Amino acid sequence: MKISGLQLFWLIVNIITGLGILFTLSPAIAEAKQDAWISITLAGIIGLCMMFLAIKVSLLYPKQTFIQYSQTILGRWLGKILVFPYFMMWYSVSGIILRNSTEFIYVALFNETPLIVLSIVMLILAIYVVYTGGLEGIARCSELIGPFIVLMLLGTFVLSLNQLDWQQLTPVYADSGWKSILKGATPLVAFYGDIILFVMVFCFLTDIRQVFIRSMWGIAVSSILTIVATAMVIMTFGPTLPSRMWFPFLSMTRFISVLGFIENVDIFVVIIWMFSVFIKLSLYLFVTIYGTAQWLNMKDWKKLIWIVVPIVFLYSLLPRNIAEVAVNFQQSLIPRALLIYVCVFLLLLWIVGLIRQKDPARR
Amino acid sequence: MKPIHFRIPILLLLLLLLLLTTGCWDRKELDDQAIITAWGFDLIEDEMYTGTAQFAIPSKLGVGEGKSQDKAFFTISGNGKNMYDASKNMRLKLSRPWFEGHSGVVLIGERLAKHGLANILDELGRDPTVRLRRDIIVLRGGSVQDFLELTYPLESLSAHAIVSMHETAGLNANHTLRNFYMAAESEESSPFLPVIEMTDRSSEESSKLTDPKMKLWGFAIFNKDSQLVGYLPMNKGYYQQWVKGLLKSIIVTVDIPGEKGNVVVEANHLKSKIVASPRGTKVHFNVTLSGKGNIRENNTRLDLGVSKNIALVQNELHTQVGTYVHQIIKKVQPLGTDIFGFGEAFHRQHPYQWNMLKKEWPEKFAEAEVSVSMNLQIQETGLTGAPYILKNREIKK
Repeated sequence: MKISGLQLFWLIVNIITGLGILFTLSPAIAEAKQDAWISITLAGIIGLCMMFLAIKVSLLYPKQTFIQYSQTILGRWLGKILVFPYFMMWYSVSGIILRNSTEFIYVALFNETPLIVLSIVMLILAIYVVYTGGLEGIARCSELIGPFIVLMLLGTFVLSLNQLDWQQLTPVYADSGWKSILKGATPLVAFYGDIILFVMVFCFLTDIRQVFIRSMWGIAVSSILTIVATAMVIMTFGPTLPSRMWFPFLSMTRFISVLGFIENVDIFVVIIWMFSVFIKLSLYLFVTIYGTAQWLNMKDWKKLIWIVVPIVFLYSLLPRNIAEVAVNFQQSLIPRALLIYVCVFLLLLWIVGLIRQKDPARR
Repeated sequence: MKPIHFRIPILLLLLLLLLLTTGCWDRKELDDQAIITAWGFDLIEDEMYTGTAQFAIPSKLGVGEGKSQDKAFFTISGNGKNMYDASKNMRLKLSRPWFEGHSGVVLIGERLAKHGLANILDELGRDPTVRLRRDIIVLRGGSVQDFLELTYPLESLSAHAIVSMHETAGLNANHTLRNFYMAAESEESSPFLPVIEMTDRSSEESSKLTDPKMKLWGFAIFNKDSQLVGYLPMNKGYYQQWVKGLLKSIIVTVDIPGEKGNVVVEANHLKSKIVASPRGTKVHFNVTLSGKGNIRENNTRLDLGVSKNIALVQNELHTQVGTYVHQIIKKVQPLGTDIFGFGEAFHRQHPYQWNMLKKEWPEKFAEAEVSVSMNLQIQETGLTGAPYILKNREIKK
């Protein structure tokens, strides 16, 4: 399994843009009102920092995955125990992605299909690509689908131009203040747990020298797309309305009307979105499975699919309704605590790893 | 080749996928659906809502010679304790499931509007098949059932006529649900909706006339609880739209002092600018209305080929329109409903003071001082200067 630098770029764009735009705009606008785009910009900068950290740590031992080098750096047992919260995050986030995406498909398209059926269909696809292609298959899919997602977003932006009122963005800063702007950044930053996922991916790069530039561009492009999407949603619906919508961006595409002729284009958005969800879900599944296998020192990681997938599926059934999916999960403490732990632990690994590499006696 | 045990899961997957290829068991063919073109809601008694939907009859919709004289639509009504209950009762009369993605208009009866739109607005915002682009309009002078039964000579579906009528009248046709929600939930503005009037109830003798029996009447003003609190007839409504910055063109009649007749000016490229300035405990707003004018009719003896006379008309227009707009604003102010965009202007120009003001904005709006200034340039006089029919000595240079 090897992936190219370009495939890494598209993987990042795919995974961070799609669900981020769908789910984080509403809470960000609820906090920061018309200044939500500043929040999103801030979140983008934080995302760049997280990616920087992830790359730096991974470059210490470029031939090893995160699970391997954490044991190289900290020793076998400490390394194994301290990465446990990562698995908690990956398992739960996989479940949440599955639930989020099926919930979205349910609301947007199939109002009469049971959620479980949608989940299973999505899972079958993901299992198929993980089983047959592994990371390489996922990366190739994302290289194929990524440009369409960007095109779809740009198309939506262009078609929405005629209904924008830039005055909705004013007054800048006065209404929210830096506290609200910071708070508005948290939902998207919480989504940036995805960035940490890539510590498992970097070692598969064919040319490790490309890792820095490709990853940073990936984050930058998806941040810019999210910022534009936020600004456009505010310019279309004002600062209060989007905070009460589950999916403001979808509502914006439903509002498109050009010359009374191009209307009802939201179906394209939904379809392309499903591709993005598929990439994200399969990458999460792959990392979870591959990581678990390495953690257990198993040689044949594919066997674990049949254990990991049912766990993820059951977890996705836990939330009772959409409010729990979209609101409670993002605002509850555990995922945030996990995210903070995950970042702090990476920083720790980096520092310890640096010391170990500088110290010739312990090499 | 991969070993055989690799293929078994794939085979299983393929078998599972077969389950999904059972065809479109929940398909919704266009032929099996009833397409709603317009909705109407009203209140018949306390806590008793009535809903009416206009359905297109596709076979009668076509264009060309085969088009029959019959109505291309039919309506169904139902009553209930809330919107959904009413629509549930409507379904009892329907042979097909309905599809409302193409519904363009929601009509609100006067009684329901006065009672408040909170219920219906929640239902419309929650339903995933409803698009926020749908227009919402208040109906006067008749029941929603009767209105939805009306035919319009030029359009096969009368619902489509209402939106086009706004465009033709130079008004902003964009009275969507979105605008209402945005105004209702904003800190500053109060929502307003266009009012359409049913000019004549369907009766024996009037049914022979080809008059469409519907007309744009003006605008309805809503308070922050989405209840109708006041009306602006069209002659005043035009100016409210101008102040709000939504008007495309307007026709103004200017009386000329010392003359018997009047001059009619059509103004285009209309703009509005509101400057807010806090003055002690009160707030002052200066509204500047600007645009470009054409003379359409001259019923006076003035020679409009003379620049001095055009300036005279322009000055008269400025004072007359200015006073009129001021009167309209004064009339709306006691309602405490900001439908002119004053709050938005204040918010944008003095964002920090707005924070202190916003809680009592309706009161502050009611007691705000307003001045109106005009900047309308008359640029064209049509093809003549002085009227053709006047004798030379009658013309006032």
